[in-house]
Parts: sequence; C-alpha cells; structure tokens
Amino acid sequence: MSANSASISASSAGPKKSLKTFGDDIWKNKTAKINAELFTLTYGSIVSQLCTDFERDFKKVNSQLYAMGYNIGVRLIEDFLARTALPRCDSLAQTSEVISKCAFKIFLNVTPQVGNWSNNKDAFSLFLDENPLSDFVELPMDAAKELWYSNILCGVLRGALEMVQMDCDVWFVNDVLRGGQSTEMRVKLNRIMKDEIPAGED
Amino acid sequence: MPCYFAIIGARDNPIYEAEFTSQQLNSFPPELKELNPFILHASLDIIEDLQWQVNPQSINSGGGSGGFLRSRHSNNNGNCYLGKIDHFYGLAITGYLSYGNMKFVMIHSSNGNGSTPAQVEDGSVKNFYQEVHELFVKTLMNPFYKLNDPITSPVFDSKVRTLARRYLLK
Amino acid sequence: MPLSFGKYMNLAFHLDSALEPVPTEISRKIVSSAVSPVVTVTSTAALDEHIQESYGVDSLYMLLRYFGDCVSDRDQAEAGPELGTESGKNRNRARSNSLFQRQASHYLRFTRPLTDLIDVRESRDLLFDYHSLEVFLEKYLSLVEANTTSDTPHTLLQHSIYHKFFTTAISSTAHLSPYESFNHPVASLLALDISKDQGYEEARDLLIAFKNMHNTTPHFPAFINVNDILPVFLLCYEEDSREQFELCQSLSKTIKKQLFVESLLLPCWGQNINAGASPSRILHQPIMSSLEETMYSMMKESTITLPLSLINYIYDRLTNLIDELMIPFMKRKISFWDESILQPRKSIFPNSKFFRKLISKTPAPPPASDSATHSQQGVAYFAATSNEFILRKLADWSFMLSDFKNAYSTYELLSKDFEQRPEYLASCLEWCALSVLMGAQSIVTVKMIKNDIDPLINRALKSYELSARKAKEKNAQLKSSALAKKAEKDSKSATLPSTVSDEHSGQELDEGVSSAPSQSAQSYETRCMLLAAELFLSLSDTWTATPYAIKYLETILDECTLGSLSEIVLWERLAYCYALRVDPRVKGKLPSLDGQSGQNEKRGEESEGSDESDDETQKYDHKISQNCMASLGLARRRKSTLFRLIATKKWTESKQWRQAYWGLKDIEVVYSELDFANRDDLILEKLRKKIHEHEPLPQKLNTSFIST
Repeated sequence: MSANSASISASSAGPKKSLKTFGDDIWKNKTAKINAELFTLTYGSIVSQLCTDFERDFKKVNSQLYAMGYNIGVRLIEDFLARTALPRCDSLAQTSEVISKCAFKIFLNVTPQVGNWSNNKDAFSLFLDENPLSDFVELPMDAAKELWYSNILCGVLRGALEMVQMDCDVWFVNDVLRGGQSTEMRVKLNRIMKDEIPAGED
Repeated sequence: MPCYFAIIGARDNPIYEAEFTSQQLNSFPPELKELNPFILHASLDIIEDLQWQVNPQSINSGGGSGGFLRSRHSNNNGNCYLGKIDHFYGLAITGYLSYGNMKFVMIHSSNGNGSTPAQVEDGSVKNFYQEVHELFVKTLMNPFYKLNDPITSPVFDSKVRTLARRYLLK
Repeated sequence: MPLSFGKYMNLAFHLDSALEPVPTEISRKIVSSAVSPVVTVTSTAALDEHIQESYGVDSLYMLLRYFGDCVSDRDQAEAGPELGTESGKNRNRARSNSLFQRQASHYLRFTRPLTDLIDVRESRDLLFDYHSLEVFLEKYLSLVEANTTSDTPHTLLQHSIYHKFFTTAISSTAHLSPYESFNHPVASLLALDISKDQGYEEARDLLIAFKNMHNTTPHFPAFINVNDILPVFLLCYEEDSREQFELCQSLSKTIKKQLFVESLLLPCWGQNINAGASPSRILHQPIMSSLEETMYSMMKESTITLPLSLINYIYDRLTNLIDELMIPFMKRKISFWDESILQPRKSIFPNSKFFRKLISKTPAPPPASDSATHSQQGVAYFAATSNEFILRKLADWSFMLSDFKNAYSTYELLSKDFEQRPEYLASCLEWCALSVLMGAQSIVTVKMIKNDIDPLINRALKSYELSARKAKEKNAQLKSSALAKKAEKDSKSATLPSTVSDEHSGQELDEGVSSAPSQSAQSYETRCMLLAAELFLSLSDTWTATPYAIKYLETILDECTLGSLSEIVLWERLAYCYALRVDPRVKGKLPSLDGQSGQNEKRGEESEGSDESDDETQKYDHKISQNCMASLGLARRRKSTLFRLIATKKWTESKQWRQAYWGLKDIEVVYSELDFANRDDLILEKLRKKIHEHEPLPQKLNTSFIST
C-alpha cells in the first residue's frame, strides 16, 4: 500500500477538488429526490415509536437504531459504489473525504466537516452542521440524557464500511439536540480485514 | 394593554397559556386573572359557530371564495384569522383557527381598567397569530410531541413572548 | 301535586312541586297578572272593627287582598300538605289551573282606598325603589334558605325566585302613574256592614264621598277620572240571620234603583263561617301586591286562618264581580271611547260637517298640549278627560282584557300623538312592543322582531332617557331656586329616605322639589327592559330571540342602579338565556343543562367504549368528541356556564351560601371534565373551598374534589 501511496496520494490530490464537484454533480443529476419534510417526519415517527415500544428505555432504542442502520448500511454501500464507481480508498483520510463529500452529499445533501484526527490517524470526527434527520426535533427531558437521536447514521456507516473490509466503530460524541455545541460522530478504524481479495484494480 | 393568550386543543383543554404584560402596563387584576381561562373557554362556543357555518359572512373580505378556511390561495393563512369574536365587559376576545382545529384565543384588555372598551388592531394581531401558528406547526413537527399535549418547551415560550413584545405591546 | 300559578310563585313554600319542569308561557301570565285591573276597597269603620274582632285582620281590605291574583284558580282554598284528609272533599269541586290553560285567566289586584293612595303619593314618579327591592330580595332569600336544604331540587326554585323578583320590580299596586293607567283603579268596592245596621244612608254617603273625591281630596291628580271607576257595593251580613239576608236583598234593589249602582252580597259571619270552624285554611301572601305591603307582611310573620266556606264565598263573589260587572263595564267603556274618539279619527272625513252632526262630542283636537294641565311642580300632565289620555286608557284596558290587537293599534296611533312628549311617548312605545310580544300577531317572526319590536323598544328607551334629561334640567332650575330660598331661612334637616340618587348627595331639599327624576325614568327603563327580556325568552324560536333578551339584561346591568342581590339574580338570568340559546334544529338532541350529571357520566362511558374498540393503546385525543356532531357551534353551553360561575362568585361575596352551592352544583356538570378548570389558582377551586366551609359536601363522589 505504501508503494502506491505516493502515486495515489498524488492522484488523489488532484481529484480532491473534483471530489466535491463530483459529489455535487451526482447529487444534482443522478439521484431521485424526495421531500425533506416527509423524510424527517418518517424518521421521527420511527424514533418516537421505538421509544414508546421500548417504554422509554433509551439504551435499547439506541442499539435498535444502530442495528437498523447497520442493515441499511450493508445494502447502501452497493448502491453508492454503483452510482459513483469510485476506486478503493488508500487511506483512512481518503475514506473520510469520500464519506463526507460524496456519501453524505448524495444521500442526505449535507457535507459534514472532517476533523479532530487522532494522533495515530486511525480515528476522525464528522461534524454535522445541519442534520436533516433532526429538523424541528426537541428531545423530552428524559430522552435528552440518554438518547442519540441520529444513531441510525452510526449504524449505516459501520455497515457500509464493514462491506469494504474496514472494521470501524462509529458512535456519537455530541449532539446539539442534547445541548452540545455541535453534532459530532466519531469513526475509529479497528483493523482492515485483509482476507478478501481487494475489489477494483489489482 | 395586557393580553392573555391561550391555545386550546380539541378537548377544550388549553395546551399553552401565557400572559403578556410589560413594565408600563399593569397586569390583570387578580379577580380577572382567576377568571381568564373560563372566559376563553366560553368564547369557544362562538368559534365553533363561526367554524362550522355553512354560509359564513365574509369575515376577511378578499381572502377566499368560500369564506373561512376555504380559500383558494394555499400559501396564505389569512382566512384563519377570525378577528374579534366576542367581548366580555370591556375585554375583547380575538380568535384564530389552525387547520387542525386548534383554537388560538386571546383576551385583550384596555389600559383604563375596563372603562373604555378594548381596541384591537387587526393588522398586528393577525401577524402575531400567524407567526405563532408557524411556531406551533414547528412544534407539531417534533415527533415527540403528541397532539393535544401541553406545550412545555421553554424555547417555544420565549419565542412567543418575543413575538408578543413585537406585535402586541406597543 | 300539580303546579299552579300561585304555587309556582310561592314555590319556597310548596317544595313538593319543585321537580316539575319550568311552566311554559309563565312570563305571559305574569305580565297579564301584573297589569290586571286594580280594585280599591273602601269600607266603613264599623265594618272594619267587626272584621277585626272576628278574624284578626285590620280591615276588610286587608282581608280581601289575599284573594287577588288568579281568581279562577282559587288558590287560597287549596289544602296545605298537612290537611290530607280534606283533599277528598276538594276533588269534587272543579278546580281550574290557570297554568295549563291557554286562554287568559282573570286576575285582580286589590289596593287601599284611592284617597289613601293619593295621600301617600310622593311627588316622585318612582315606579320602584331599588333599595327596598334589594331588602325584599334579601329577606326572601333568607326565607328560602330557611325552608330548604342543600339537596332540595333547585332548578325550578331558582326560576321562581327570579320571577318573584321580576313581579316585584315591574308591578305596584300603590303607585299611580300619570303616564299610564295600569295602576289606576278600575272598580271600587264600597263595603257596608248590614249586621251593624248600616243601611241606605251609609251607602249613599259612601257613594257621594266616592264621587266627590276629586273635589274633596287635596292634590287629587288630574289624570284620574272618578267616572271611569266602577263602584260596586259589598253588603256584608250574617249568614244565619234570615232577616239580614232579606234586608240585604231589598237594600240592593233600592241602591240599584236610586243610586244606579250594583251590589254584591257577602255572608261574612255565621255558624259555619266563624273563625275556628273547620275546615279552615292558612292564607298565604298574595303574589301581586306592592313592595311596601310585601315587605310589611314579611316582617310581620303572623298567619291568618280563615274558614274554607268563607274563602269559597269570597271567591264566588269575586268571580261574579269580574265576569258580570267589571268586564262588561270595561267593554262598554272601551266601545264607547272607541266610537266617540277613535272612529272619528280613523274615519276618512274627520272634519266633514256631515259626520259632525252625528257625533255629539267635538272631534279630536289637534295634538297639542292644549288639554294638558299642570300639576304643582309645573310638570305638564294630560288630564283624565283629555282625548289623549282616554285613548291611552282604551289601549291599557284592551291590554288588560287580553285584546292585544286592539291595544297594539291604539298604542301605535297614540305614539304619533305624543311625539312631543317623551314621557308619554316612551310608555306608549314600550307597551306597543309588549303587546306584539304578548300576542297581537299569532306568530312572531324574526323579521318582526328586527323591524318592529326591537326598534320600538329602543325608541322607548331613548324617550325615557330624553325625559329623564329634561326632568333633570328642570330639576336643576328648581333646585337652584329652592336653594336660594333655603339660603334665607334656616334649614331644618328634612332628610328624605335614603334612596336619593347620587347627584344630590348630602344635599337636603324641601319636599316640594322632586329629587330624583332620572331615577324615576330609570326605574321605568328598568321595568321596560326587564319585561322585554322576559317576554323575548318566552318566544319559541330561542335562537333569534335570546340575543335580544341578553342585550336588554346586559344593558340593565350596565346602566341601571340596582342593589347587589338584584344584580346577581340578573346574572343568573343571563346564564339561563345563554343556556336557552340553542338552534332549533338541534334542540331535541342536546341534553339540557339542568344538572343532569348522571346522564353526563353515561355519555362519557359510551364514547370511551367506542374508542377502545378501535385501538386499545392509542387514545385519539384530537378527535372531536361530541354526542351530536351537528350541534357544534349551535349552542352556548359554555357561555352559560361562565355566567353561572360569575353569579356563583357574587353569591359567595354576598354570603348567600345556599344559592352559591346550587350554582356550584350546576357548574360542576360542565367543568368537572376539564382539567384546567380545577387548577388551584383559578376561581373555581377557590369558590369550592369557600362554599364548602359553609355547606356540606355533596352526596355524589366527585374525584375532582378528592384530588385537591
């Protein structure tokens, strides 16, 4: 990987700018869109119903959302790769860029900021300035201490990354709904699963 | 002039109440304070009457063709404003109906202790109601808010009070 | 026991009938009885003494006054609840019950001799005095409280209390008004005591005194004409004595031949009529008597017992008086006036010479104040012989005889004549509107209300205001001259009774100056509005009629001075008006507001049951839950309950705990389901606490009480 890294980082530096425009382009032209409020309300009713069903046990709700997101993620990655036909990412850094500028853009039309890299570059944070899942939401008092409202996103990321042989942990660090300054998701790479044959170029 | 505002749900229960006063104006006298929710409750009869009239007189002319809530213009909710619907001994009561049968009612009192009947400036009151309506819709969008529940969010409360300061207390 | 008119009005004493529904047409009956013909009673001193010895009443008048009101009902002959064994006998007599009859019944009012009335007559033209009305109401309420418990069914009783207040406010037997002739006597009973050997001489003296009243009495008002009063002799004798009976008969024949007056024979004493003879009845107070007399009798608190046979005799004679003497007399006079004055005016050629030959009297003078005479204070009154006043009498008497069409047309005619005289005009317009409401037209339509009745009443009210203003100005002039006079001499503080209005606070005036003209006009205004409101409520289309009633009641509360208890009674009436205000299309479907809480609970269970069948976990809070969806917006239940709440609060302020408790009971029906109403800081909770300090908790378990 290191042998290719220079060339690829060189090639990735070039399309870095175009990654953004690439993502924009796909969003504009190649995706069907739905009404944002419908989407928000649907997700909201899912969360609210889960809370009722689990009788306000928010730990269970969180894990259920995570499990749902995982199921979505393992399927969503196929759709993503089909749409974008992006090559394999060389580094976690590139992965983070793709996630932020392409994935989120195409599916949610938001571009979270990547930042807060750990010292050994195996974890980063995504800062969501706007979160279409949680428009108009105000958490009730008991939920505000335990519930991660957009936890489904964590599950999605984990499921998707797992399908491309990256075993990551994704969790929420902070949420404006819970009174924090920003909405922050943390992605930590545990290991690359080397057993599979790498897809794409050989 | 001090105002007492309430949003009343489908079961005659107020889901939100607030009293708007300012430094220069006195608040309601105590015997009125304890009577205010009942006064609003009594005006519900008239709101229902206006709401379900088959051939309403045009309350807001130039709004729609079929009268109340039957306007062809979908993007202005001017037809929801009912204007001054009732009076009660020097107090004026205005009303506004949301599309989901939520009744926004307010008591306006005059400054002079009820000796002069309260004046209602339709323009600013209507704006107030429309903005509160928008805030209410946003509250409804919250998946954790069930219809007819009391609105306890302090954010809502402070926003409504800001609106009141802007439109009502001059 | 079925309800009768007398029982309803005195319901506080007949609580066994308290569960009956509110009688229909009661307002019209009350109005008829309020303006029923007045009969004065003059008796000789010997007769009065004799009666006092036998029965313990001061005079014949005091005895007869119990027999007024609805004569055909024979109320005083009704057995009280304790005399159960007598009821068998009573069933034999055909008892009429005026409450359930459609045609007008015959009412009477008795009053003191005319000379007495004139003596006592104050220079103020005050119809009623709100202060004494207030005191009366207070006494009556304490009487009610003494006779009832918290559990007594109170709905009908509260209506009855209001009607008591109503009748006392609108009617007076002692007040002689120059502007209308309702209180002017129509007949006069001149009574002689045959058993004390009074005979033809005394009869003749009485009659002469009667006929010369206008000469002999000082301050005899110009607007009363003695010729328009029917004198009737009442010869009282002992039943057992055959010779007295024959004496009476020959005397009555003589009187008829020589004095041209009819007589009635009344056996007042005898074996089976003696006091103490059984069966006997305790008399209860008449309904229509003046405020002063009612107050007096309430404070006296002694009861009078009369033997049943005497009661029946008296009723027989009175029926005789009404049917055979008085009503024909009135009808004759009416037709006479009609022919002589009204027809010529209505005819096409009033000034033609041909017609003038046929009519002996001069045709109607042009409507000017020529025929008006002036009283002491310089206020102009129409004399009793003036055409205008005769026409007024014609209209009033037609009203008394329930001939409302005639009354209406005459009032209308008169209102054109009285354009310049607001005091007379106001009264004309008022009664014009009232005759429509009483039945001049067979059906009262909405258009009629809007176009005829309401404007008439508004005009009447304006005229009253105008006359009040005029009188005030005049009074100011007189006051300034009186003050000037007073400044010269030392004023002895001749304080007038405490009803002097606020404008003259602290100032003492000589009696010559009428002191509260605005108040007198106001009492007429109040009466007008009270009457109008009540009659509007009796119309069948309550949806359109009640707003007018509400408007008038609110005007009274806003503008007229009334005592605090009177105001509360009016607040309760307002609540009742709103409760009545139901669109006729849904009238049958709504439960009434009369405290049927049991029915309410049943309703609640039914609706919950249907919801549960849909989805067990979800409760559809936002659905409109109504038993009758079609009735949304077409009733005013909530408003009615609000007014009831206010009335209850005021009752507690005036410390009328029984009334407040009943009000609270009725309010609970509506407010108990609502959470917000039971919050601690709101008035309902405070009222509950206060009332429960004074009254025991209600029998039914109500969770909202326990939750606090």
